[in-house]
Amino acid sequence: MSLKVDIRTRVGSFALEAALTAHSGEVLAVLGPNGSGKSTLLGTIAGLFPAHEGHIKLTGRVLEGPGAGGNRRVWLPPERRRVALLGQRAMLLPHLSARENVAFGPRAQGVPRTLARERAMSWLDEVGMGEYAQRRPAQLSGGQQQRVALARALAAEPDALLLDEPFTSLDTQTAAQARRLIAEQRDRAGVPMILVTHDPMDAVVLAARTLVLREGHVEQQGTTAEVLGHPRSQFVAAMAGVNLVAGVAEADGTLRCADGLRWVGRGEHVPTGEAATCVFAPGSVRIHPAAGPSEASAANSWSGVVAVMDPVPGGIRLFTAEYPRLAIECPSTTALALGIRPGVELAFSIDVDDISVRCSR
Amino acid sequence: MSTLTTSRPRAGRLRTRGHVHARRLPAWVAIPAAVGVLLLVLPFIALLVRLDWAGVPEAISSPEALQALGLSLSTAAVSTVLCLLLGVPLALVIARSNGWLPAVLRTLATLPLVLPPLVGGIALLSLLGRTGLFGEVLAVAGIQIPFTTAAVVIAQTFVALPFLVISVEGALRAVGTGHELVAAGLGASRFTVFRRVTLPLAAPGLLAGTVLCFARALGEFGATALFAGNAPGATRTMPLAIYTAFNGAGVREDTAIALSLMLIVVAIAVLLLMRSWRTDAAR
Repeated sequence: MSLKVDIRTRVGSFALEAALTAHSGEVLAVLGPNGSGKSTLLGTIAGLFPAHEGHIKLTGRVLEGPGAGGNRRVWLPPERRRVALLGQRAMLLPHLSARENVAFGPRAQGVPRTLARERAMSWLDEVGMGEYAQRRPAQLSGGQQQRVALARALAAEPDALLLDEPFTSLDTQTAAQARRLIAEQRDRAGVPMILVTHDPMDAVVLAARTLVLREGHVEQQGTTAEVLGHPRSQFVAAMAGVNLVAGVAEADGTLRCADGLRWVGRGEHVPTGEAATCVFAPGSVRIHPAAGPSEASAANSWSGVVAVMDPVPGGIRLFTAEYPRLAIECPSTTALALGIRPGVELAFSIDVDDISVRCSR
Repeated sequence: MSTLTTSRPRAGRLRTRGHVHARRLPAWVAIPAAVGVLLLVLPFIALLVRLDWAGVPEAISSPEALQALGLSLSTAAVSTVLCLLLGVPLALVIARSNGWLPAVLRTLATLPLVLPPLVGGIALLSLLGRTGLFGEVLAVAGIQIPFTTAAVVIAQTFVALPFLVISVEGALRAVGTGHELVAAGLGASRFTVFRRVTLPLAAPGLLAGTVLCFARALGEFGATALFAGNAPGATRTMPLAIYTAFNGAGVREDTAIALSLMLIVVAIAVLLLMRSWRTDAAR
């Protein structure tokens, strides 16, 4: 089974062009900031808005696209697509128990009541919610509701599952459980899944392949390791949460950037004079107290005055006034020990092994 | 809308919070608020004080009064059913369409609410009366509508429909389309979505709208008086009976007051019934 999408569409003034394939038993992560077209993409696949051009095929069925003989486009309504959607909010029906919510899909598809209930119970057990079968959604926590919602989506036996930021409204621990659950079902249910998220960690944990959307077009797609490890643009690097610097190889093997910094890393050999990129994680940067005025001539080291500090899980991310594109992360203990705050000058260095080099072409 | 849908325990919590909140309001607010309450309550107290309690049993058990009450309850019930049949689909169209259509429809649906009912009665006469727009067609078909019980039902439906449409439309929009889309993704047909998702989710608004609609139909006077007349047994509903008793020659005002009391009791009964249903639904 596979879900093949190749569409050009327009919703209001927003244009979206995307081509992607998700295979069964695989999660394709779709990364992008707000307004990049993630929801439009999912909505189009689910049948909420029509695509103007292109096609959507699901395991041999045409959900949408040019008709076989005539010139009329095929467009299946949502209820005939067999594409289930799991969103940020569980959207359980408040007037039905957990079991009746899960039985909703089978019932709607004509499965007899008793059988639908049995199937609902086994799916509730599957997501560890068997003992809550009689509870109303209002009596369940957010994480429990989301688990019931996943059971409900899977009980409808969809041919594809669309996950629209399903972890965003959950706390860290519950989100981790929900991720494990999705990973289990990815392997067991064997349907193609598309996971829309703005968190690259979701892609790392769940998705073999990742696609980055930007302003309605696909900026980069490939294996998750490739996309997040070797972003091809600053935009993708920012999405992936890594630093990307571009420069030209010098005779001594270093890469010189326009801002004067020089980098040495591991990876591809870059011939002198050729353009290349370096990628490194903000967390692998080492922070030292500023040693003295301007000694930033050595490769892989620089100094700057802290301009911006943002909290991140487990620590802080900071940017310097001199190199506002380079993110540096450190644990909160380090930040406290070094007395890091805006206005403080610091020196930074990074290990050769922590930098990945790649030719630009 | 939210106050209509909250369950009893929650309403209790809101009341406590409201009490705390009230302390932060400027003190003078309490004065007009109190005057408002008095304006609402004093007339009813006066009515009860002036009532000739000894004459009440006779007044409300007279054949005329019972006939008027029966006619009121039955016509209001039929009107409410008609409002549900016409109003729920109309509310759905308004709540679920885009562009200029919902705005136009909403304005049209609220028109009877802002117009004096007398104007509605004249408008209905102009449409269905003997010399009205459809008058000739109806006459040829041998159908006479004005001054019949059917006219009472039409007049009540006309004035009560906005209450149902507004309540249901508000409920539908508050609920949104998220649940419906999820249900469609699970393979539910449009009708299944309507029956098992849309209607249950809008139920509190639907119930509130139905009650308001019934109450409005029960109290309808102006349009009925013009369009249906005041024929005992056929078109003399409770409000018309009260008016007749109040103005009629040889009838004492006390009869009108006793009949009013009956209508108040019915209205309170309907409200209490809705409250108990709502508490059940919340469980």
